[in-house]
Amino acid sequence: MSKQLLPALLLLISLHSVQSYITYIEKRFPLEGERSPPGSPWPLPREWKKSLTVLTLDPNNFYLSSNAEECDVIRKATNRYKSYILIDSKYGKASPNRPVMPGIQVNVDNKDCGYPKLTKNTDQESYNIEIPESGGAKITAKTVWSALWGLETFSQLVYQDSDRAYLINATSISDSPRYGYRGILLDSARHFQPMKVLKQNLVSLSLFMSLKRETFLNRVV
Amino acid sequence: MNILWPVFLLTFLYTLDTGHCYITYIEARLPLPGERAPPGAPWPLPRFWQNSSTVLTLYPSTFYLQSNARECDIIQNALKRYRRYILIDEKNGVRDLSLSVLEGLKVEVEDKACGYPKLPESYVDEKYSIDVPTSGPAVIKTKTVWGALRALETFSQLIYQDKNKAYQINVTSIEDYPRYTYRGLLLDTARHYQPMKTLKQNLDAMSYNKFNVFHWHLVDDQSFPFESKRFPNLTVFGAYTPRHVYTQEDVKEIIEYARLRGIRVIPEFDTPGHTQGLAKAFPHLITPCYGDGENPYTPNHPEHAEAEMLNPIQDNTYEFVKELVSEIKDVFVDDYIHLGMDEVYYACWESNPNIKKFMEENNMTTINEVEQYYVKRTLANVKDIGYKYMIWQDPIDNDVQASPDTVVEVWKDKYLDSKMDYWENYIVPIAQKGYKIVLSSCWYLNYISYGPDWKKYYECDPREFNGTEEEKDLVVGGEACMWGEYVDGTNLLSRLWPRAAAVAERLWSDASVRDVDSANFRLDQQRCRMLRRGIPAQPILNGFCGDYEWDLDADI
Repeated sequence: MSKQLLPALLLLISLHSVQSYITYIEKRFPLEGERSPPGSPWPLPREWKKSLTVLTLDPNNFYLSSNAEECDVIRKATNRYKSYILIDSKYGKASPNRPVMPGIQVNVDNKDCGYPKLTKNTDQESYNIEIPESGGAKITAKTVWSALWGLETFSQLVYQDSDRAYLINATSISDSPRYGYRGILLDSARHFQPMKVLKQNLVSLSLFMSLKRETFLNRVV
Repeated sequence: MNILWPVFLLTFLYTLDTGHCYITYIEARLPLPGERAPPGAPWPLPRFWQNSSTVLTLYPSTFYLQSNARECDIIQNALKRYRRYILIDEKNGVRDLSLSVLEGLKVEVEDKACGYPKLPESYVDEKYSIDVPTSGPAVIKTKTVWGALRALETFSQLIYQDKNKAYQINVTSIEDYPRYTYRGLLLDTARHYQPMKTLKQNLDAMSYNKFNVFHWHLVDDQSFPFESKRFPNLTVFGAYTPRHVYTQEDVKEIIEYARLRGIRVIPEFDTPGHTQGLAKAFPHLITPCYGDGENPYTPNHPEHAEAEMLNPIQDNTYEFVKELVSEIKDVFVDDYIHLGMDEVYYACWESNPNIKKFMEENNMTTINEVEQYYVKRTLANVKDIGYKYMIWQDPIDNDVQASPDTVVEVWKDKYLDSKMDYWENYIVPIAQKGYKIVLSSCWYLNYISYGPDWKKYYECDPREFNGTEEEKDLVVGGEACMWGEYVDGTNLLSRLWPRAAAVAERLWSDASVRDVDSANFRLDQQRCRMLRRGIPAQPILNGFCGDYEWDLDADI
């Protein structure tokens, strides 16, 4: 009897920590592979060193700043990502028993603003994230574009416990893409795709570099 | 040549500009076959539909809906609801000043009995006629309030708008009744919790297509979201989280929502397999497996887990099931419960020495007899409570004798699993044994594929098996199934509709209505109609619906 209770209790505990949870199709085919810890980034960064030290974020006292705020891409990104990081605006809070990570500074090397272009050198999209055991975190990005990728990855490292406290592990990440062209094609000729759909798609594309969209104009004459 | 082109162009533009939905080819060198349906073509196709070229208009501010059965809340609610669907364009819909006005609609019901829908005794219970005359109000005549609901749906589909948004309806005469009395749809709320909004919208979509049974596969291995008050731990331990629960209030809300649409709600409580969900609260009710040959609770993947299937040799298993089924009977209203009884895999039972002992003590030589024992004993208990039941085909395949009023659901087919036989072969012995049958094998809509897969659902006919006419008459209907492994609030409705509409027509309309090419255009009309009424039904081909396209004017 206890043999059954223990897994059940463990299951209960993990279930109540507000984490996503997928399960088998049939119990006799248990899911293979290893469950990833909460706050795991997608796509997987090139180098990801995670420590067991858990820090917390205080939604009332969290800074997200950059040395490239003249560039509107960065300015708008810091606003946007603050709302993704502190995603639970209703119930999210700081954890009382953990050291607070006060904020994150985004340092960009090459502050060229404007439009993203195809680069031959994938190094141009590289970034590092340093979340130390104490003090503020830092993203070091080659370009404003890689700063966006750094912010995206950072926002994915934040998770919540069963009391809805924001948590993040002290982490060190060094990342750059394998390919410089990572595209999605949408077809707005076979069916008109409303503006809302195009924009929402761009939001979920924020991990990709470029969107290639082909529009066919139906010519009647 | 110079004169022809502008004429052609203008005609083309005129037809395009009528504000009607429009689907078009994949490649211009492969034009679409079949005939485009006129606007306002109903789905499912009525048995007798006499359309005329005389067009009338509606005057939104004075159009009335009346009935002699207004005391029945189903009719009252339906008149309000259908008024909205008929005068769908609240913003811009107008009357056509050049046409005669159809003043209103009268719904005449013979038998005003209100209450809950039951398995109709015959097609007559949902029979109706619609008369849209050249002058005077339109009249619907039906035997029952259920027929009135079907009639109102068809009537609402006859109305369309021209390019000036003026309402139009043709002088029409319709007589209609369903081919099958059981036209069901299964949803699975255990593999994923389906939000209440999704369940209600689905009931709406079902009513637009004249489905009349919601088969609610409530619980399964993965979770137990039903709020049991007799065994609260089932919900505490079985639901994914406390938010992923259907309270008994929620269930009553769904049953009422369905009732107003003439839809029965049949709950499924599947045993002895598919019970890991309830095992989270009552692990001792599940059979321990001896995977290593010696010790209990040892798995042997992929034959069996460490424990599986309700334990058939314990008395408390049967007491528990009886008690829970009797609680379900208090909450749900229909005469029938679906008891599942599918996929009883034997590997775990065979590994258990106590079951071996039980078999010896009871002169059982094959493990199949243990399944029969469970099924027989449970069916007897359920009958004791006063329930009629539906079961999946498995126990009947395994020679279990169920009560003669059992409805057997045939679900197996070769395309679902190459190790299985064709449904046409499974159904024959079941019909020969005299059971009423519901077919779902060819309608597992959870299996998706690219392109217009609705055509294969449309083409499956429940009578096409080797049997006598009497045996074929035992098929009382069919069911489209949307199992929940890969669907939830994000995608269930678009995955299900309008593909399920193809099944709806197969179950309602005459067997001779089989032309997929022409159905294409009429199904598109139905899809756009559902879209306009708030169902995110996915497209069936390239094209557009109109200025009410999904999210056309929305922004983030």
